[in-house]
Amino acid sequence: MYEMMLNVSGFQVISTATNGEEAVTLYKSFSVKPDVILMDHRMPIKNGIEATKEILQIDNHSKIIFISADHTIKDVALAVGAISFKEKPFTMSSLIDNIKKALV
Amino acid sequence: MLEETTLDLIIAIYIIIIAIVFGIMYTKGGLPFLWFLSTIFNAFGSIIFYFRHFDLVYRMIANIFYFLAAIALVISVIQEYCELLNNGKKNQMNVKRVSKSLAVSIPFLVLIVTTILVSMAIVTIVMVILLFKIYLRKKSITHLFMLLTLITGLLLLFFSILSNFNVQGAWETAVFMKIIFYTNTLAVGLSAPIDKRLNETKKNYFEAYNRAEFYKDLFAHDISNILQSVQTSMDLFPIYLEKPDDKKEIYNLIDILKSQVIKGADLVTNIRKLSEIEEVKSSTESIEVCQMIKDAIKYLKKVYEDKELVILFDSSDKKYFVKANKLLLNVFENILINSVKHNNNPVVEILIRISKMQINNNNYIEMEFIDNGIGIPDDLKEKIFQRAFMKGRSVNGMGLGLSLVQKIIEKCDGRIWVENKIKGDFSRGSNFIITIPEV
Repeated sequence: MYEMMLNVSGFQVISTATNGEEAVTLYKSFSVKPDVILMDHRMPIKNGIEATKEILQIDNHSKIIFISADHTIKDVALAVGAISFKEKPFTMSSLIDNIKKALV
Repeated sequence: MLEETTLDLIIAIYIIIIAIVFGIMYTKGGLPFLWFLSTIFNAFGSIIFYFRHFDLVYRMIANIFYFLAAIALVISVIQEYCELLNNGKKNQMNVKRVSKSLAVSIPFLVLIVTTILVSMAIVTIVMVILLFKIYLRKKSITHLFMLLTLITGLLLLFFSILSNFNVQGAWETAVFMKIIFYTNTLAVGLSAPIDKRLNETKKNYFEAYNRAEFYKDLFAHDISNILQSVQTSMDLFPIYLEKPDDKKEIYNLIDILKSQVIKGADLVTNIRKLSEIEEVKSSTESIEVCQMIKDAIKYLKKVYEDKELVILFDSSDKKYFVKANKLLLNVFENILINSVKHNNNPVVEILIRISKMQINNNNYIEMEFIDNGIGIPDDLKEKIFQRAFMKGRSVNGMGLGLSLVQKIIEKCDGRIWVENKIKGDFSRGSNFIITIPEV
């Protein structure tokens, strides 16, 4: 669904991952790193917080927007280096605004 | 002033009544057996002590019973203190170690002092200190009265020693302390069952509170996810409506909305199942497990249509019956889904074995679910079944969670645990093993 939202808004989705482990592996494999990463939290194998920490260890300039239905994770997400936190449910326009701010 | 014989008789009758009350309260639970035993010894001691007026040898026998009563209390306090050090787990090694240290030090103390009363007093001081530490941790009324009992016991010993040296007023004070000592013992007996019931109520309250928090967390999270999909669909609709060539996308959004309704309904069903398991409402029946496993496999293939699954299940067309409830299907589905979800291989392999076995002369059906997934490290093998571990998971789509899987199995008087697929190497996959009594 994020892919649909982002495509109609003019962004290019270069890849998606189904769990945190896959996200980190994919990030390592990119020769050209993504401008922005949308990171969910509750995923099997590795959660969003762990994946965020690992990606930022690879490249601390990565821009990660943390998305979760669990508002209690907001402070932790920002503390580990996410540039912003979106609590579900959010509107498409608010997400696009966050992405545009991140790209500035 | 009452005569000594009359006083001794009154005290003997008093402690007999206390011993009877103690015995009744002991059957209600909450009282350590050794405190009950100590009261019995005190009762015998008091009865025999009365007869010292006829023959002094009875005094010696009475003192033996008093000594045994004191030893029982000492062992009880040491036992409880060791449990406290081990966080509630009974550890025979620590009890033995502490008892040994005390046993070694007691004869040494006896060498220093001249009477057994002084030795007992020193031991009682140590017990008071230990019981005070126990009371500070547990803060129960029973332990407060236990502490008061030992303190008055100590005072009784002190004044008994003084009485031996014919200090004026010491004997009367010792008798008074004896009565207070036995009254405190009675208070211990009366308060223990009340404390036990209070603790059970507290435990039930916290369990119910934690359960409510757990469901609230899972429910809120899953509903938020469903609403997000609906919100996004609503945001995308106007965009696609303006593009007449994108009708396919509109139908796609409609399918997404339909699936979210189904997810919502599944969520409600799952929450109901969760509370049913927790509230012991489910009844058991005779269930043929091979068919149930086959149904779970069918469900798994439907959920993971796009995934390459190789599932081997050879039941040799035998039938195995267990006493369980229909939630057992959710157990199998949960384990199979986890085998796929926690698997990075392009081909997911699951081997299911089923057999009969005997444990303690009882017949059981054993089921093994062996996968080629990422495996579970040894330090997590027990934790994955704990509810706290479930924080960060979803109840929707992932089934019921392993803590509830374990609950369902336990309600069938069965057991579930996990081993490595390959011994000594957890990373090659897991083997979930379930045993349930055969019907």
